[in-house]
Amino acid sequence: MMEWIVPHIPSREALESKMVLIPLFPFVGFLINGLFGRTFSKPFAGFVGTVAALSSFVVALMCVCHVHDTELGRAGLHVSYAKWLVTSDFSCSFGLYIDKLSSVMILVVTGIGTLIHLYSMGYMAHDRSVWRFFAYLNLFLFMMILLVLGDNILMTFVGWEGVGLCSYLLIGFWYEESKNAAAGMKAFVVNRIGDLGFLMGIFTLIAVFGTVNYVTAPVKGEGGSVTPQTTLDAKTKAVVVPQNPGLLDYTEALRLTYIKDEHSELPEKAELPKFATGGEKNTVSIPMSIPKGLGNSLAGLITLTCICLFIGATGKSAQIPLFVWLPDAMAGPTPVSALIHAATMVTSGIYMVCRLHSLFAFSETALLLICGVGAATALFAALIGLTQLDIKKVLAYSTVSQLGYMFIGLGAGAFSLGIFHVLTHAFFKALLFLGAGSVIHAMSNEQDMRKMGGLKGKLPWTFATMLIGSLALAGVPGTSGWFSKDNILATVLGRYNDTHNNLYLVFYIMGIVAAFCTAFYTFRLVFLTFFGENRSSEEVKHHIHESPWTMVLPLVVLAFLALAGGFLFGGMFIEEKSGGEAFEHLAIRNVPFHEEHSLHEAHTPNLILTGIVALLGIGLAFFRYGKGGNIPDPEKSNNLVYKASFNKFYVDEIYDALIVFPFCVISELLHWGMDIILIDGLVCGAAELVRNGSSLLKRIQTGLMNTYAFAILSGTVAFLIYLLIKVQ
Amino acid sequence: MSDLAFIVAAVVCVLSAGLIVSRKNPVYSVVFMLPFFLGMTTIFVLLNATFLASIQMIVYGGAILVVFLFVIMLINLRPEELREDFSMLSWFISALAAGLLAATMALFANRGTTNDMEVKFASAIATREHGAIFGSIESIAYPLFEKQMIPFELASVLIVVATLGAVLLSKKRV
Amino acid sequence: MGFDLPFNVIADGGGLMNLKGCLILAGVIFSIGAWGVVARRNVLTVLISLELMLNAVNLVFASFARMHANMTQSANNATAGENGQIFALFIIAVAAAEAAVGLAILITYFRNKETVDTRDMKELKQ
Repeated sequence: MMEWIVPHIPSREALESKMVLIPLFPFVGFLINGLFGRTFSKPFAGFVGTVAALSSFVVALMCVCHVHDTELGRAGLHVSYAKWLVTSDFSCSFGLYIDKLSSVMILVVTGIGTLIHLYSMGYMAHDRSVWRFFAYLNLFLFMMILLVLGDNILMTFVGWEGVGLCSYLLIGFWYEESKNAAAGMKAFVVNRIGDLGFLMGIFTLIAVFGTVNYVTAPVKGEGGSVTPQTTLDAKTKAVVVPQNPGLLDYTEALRLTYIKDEHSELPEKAELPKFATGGEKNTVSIPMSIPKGLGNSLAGLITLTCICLFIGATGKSAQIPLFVWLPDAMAGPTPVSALIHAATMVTSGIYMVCRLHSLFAFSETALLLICGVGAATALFAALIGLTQLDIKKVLAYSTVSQLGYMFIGLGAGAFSLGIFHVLTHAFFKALLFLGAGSVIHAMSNEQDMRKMGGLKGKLPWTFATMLIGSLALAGVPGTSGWFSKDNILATVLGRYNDTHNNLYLVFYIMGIVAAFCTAFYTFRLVFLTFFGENRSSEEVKHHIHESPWTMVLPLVVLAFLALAGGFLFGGMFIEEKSGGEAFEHLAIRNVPFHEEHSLHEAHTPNLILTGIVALLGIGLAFFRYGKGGNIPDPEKSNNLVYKASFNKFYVDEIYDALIVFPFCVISELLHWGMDIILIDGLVCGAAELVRNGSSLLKRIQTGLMNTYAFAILSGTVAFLIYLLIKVQ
Repeated sequence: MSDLAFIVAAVVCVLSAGLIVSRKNPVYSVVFMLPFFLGMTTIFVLLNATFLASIQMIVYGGAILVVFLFVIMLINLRPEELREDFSMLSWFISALAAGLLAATMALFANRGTTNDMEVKFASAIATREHGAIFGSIESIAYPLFEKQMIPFELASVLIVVATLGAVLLSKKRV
Repeated sequence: MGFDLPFNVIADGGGLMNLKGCLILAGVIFSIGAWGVVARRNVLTVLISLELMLNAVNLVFASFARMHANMTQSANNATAGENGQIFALFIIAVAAAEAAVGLAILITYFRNKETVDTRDMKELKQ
């Protein structure tokens, strides 16, 4: 399939031994730059970082080509390197696992990562500590690769925390300004709340399934190892799972056992089935080592697990209520915003849900919740994006909004489309951020769109590529963004046709309104930045220049992908039939529809509607801002809705009032009540007691020998008198 | 006869001990040590500890007493340096404590001494199996050199060390 | 051979010359010594008082030695009677050593500080 990209793909065995290089290259790059970067020249530090990322991409590409060429179903490349946690009935290891799902992510991470490294060489050329930047960026790649390729959810969690750390470091990269450091801290703290949910989810997984591995351990075979699969025995109709089954083996076994047709569900309370295994242990059952009080409803526990994991995803992927950190994260350098806060890290929540999609597919409640949160976030962030003036803030809110779309897709059961939107969004949003970076670079670090304008002549490459990115973001038919977004919305409408659950209709309408807002604010950005008169000062005007080739090249590559990505890759992700088919080339099985025609009937009205709202949004933006001169000024506006949107619907203030302020009050109370009065009282009181007591006792210490002798004498006498009385 | 001797010696001991402790000038204290040691020696003889008595006389009366006297001469205290020695309160309190100590010890002695012990005390056999009289040099020499050999040698080491220490300490420049 | 006593100490029993009397005398002398140690401020007198106390202890040992004088029943403890006197001998040896070292320290101290008064010996307190 991809022979034209990589002419010679090494054998499976060779790839298995080389797989470790994917995370290793960025890690070595991090070590080199982190340890010795101080002594490097600026271009060389960038060169080291970029080469590390590129090498990782090349190895990843070879592995991915191999994975896509094998006919082994889910059996991707799987290597277990070392035992990590081993107890009597629980173990997990350090292992890397590339299957067809993670191959999409790994290409996005390393591919776009490489482009952004290249771009950063130009963008950060004048920074004081380029080496530090590239060291962090390489560390981020390493952690992201661990997140994507880890063969168990604990490894994913390690990567998850690692990218959070790198995000914190890079948001606060220019830490001299306390605003930036505070933004980094906010991102870290908000993410921790989500991480708690993620951890709870992992614990529940361990309690229910007794394992954290995604799949069972690989088995050595001819020409490389093979991961045993869960299968349905054709003769006996029994489900056969491999020995020491992983999470995905259990979910597959449950699906084969219970989900016989579209209407069946997991049993509420029933004897859990025993699955046959191919090995010495003849049968295996789901451990469910949970306290009796929590009930033994497997379906309920799976819903609980899914909701906990989703809370983790809302933190990392900036969904309501934990999205507040992402707009502030724009305090970091623009390439960081493009790589971490648009293309890769923020999509790890979607990836995690897709990784365990067979688990999520069992829980209708969790999926509905995901869909609802996604729709609410998509609309809410789009509304805020309408009025922002900072070019990066607009893109940040659009990222939050697009992440909401991805969750809509997941919640609607179209996991493949969620991943597809991750892919296309990575193309066009990275493109837009890099374009914005190019603009900011040209405008001498000015980010306020009111001071831009008329740049299309001066920055032709940036303008052309950003226009393509904007078309894709707005969802103009034919662009990559349209392919993914349109299909996600069609699936939601299809769900409504299928189940007649009015909630899906509400989510659909929210999605359409958000799409309209997206088209509007995207082209508001384009018109304010590139059209009309230039509104900057004379000195800035003088310096406006097109960016160097290192910055333009990634823009062009990404523009091509943003434009053609839908045609190139769409076939891999979009359902042809509505039967919830298994995407063999993705290792994803979408939630099936009850009736075959539901999705088909949704496509045509949805196509018309999305096309219309996209064009309407662009038209309205042109009408308002296209001619120039209509510069938004929030201070003069009396429109309450406008003000609310401009002030981000006061979410930060509400959080401050509802969470941060009570927290501070309680902390203050504890500070005074517990710390000062109780603890300090105890500690200082003890010290005071000792001091006063000793200053009293000090008087006994006369220093006079006779006193001490007298003390001995009187002690002896007292003891003798005691003996005299006691011993009769 | 022995009763009389014991009473005389005891009275001499107690009186001279009181004078030793109460004299302001240490020279008088040392002088009153002589009758004290004589009284003690008498009592030791009455207790059949004849060798111990002679050692007491030689070591205390001959050596320690002289050393004390020598030191007093050496440091040559001027009378004005012998400040008012007793404060009434401390004198009274320490006398009280010492009196209590004496009383308790007397009570213990009274309670602890049984008639059996008194009989044994009174009817001690004076002669050892090889003819030596109890308390004589001969009767002490056998156990001292047979059973207490190591403590005896250690005592000699102690005295050597003490001698060296005294010499080193008293050298002009320390 | 031997050491002829001028009078027979063994023969008469009663009177004051008995174990109780010896012990009480030792207790009184010990208390006087202790009083001296506690009440006197002259180091010399304190040292002399210490000697008094040691002598009192010797007296106790000698008394009990006499009480145990006829412990000759078996070969193993045939000499037990003299052990008290031997212990008293050791005490005398230690007392001599103590007096020598104590007085040497006193001389050195006096040489440096021109005083033998315990009220002036407060270096450790400061």
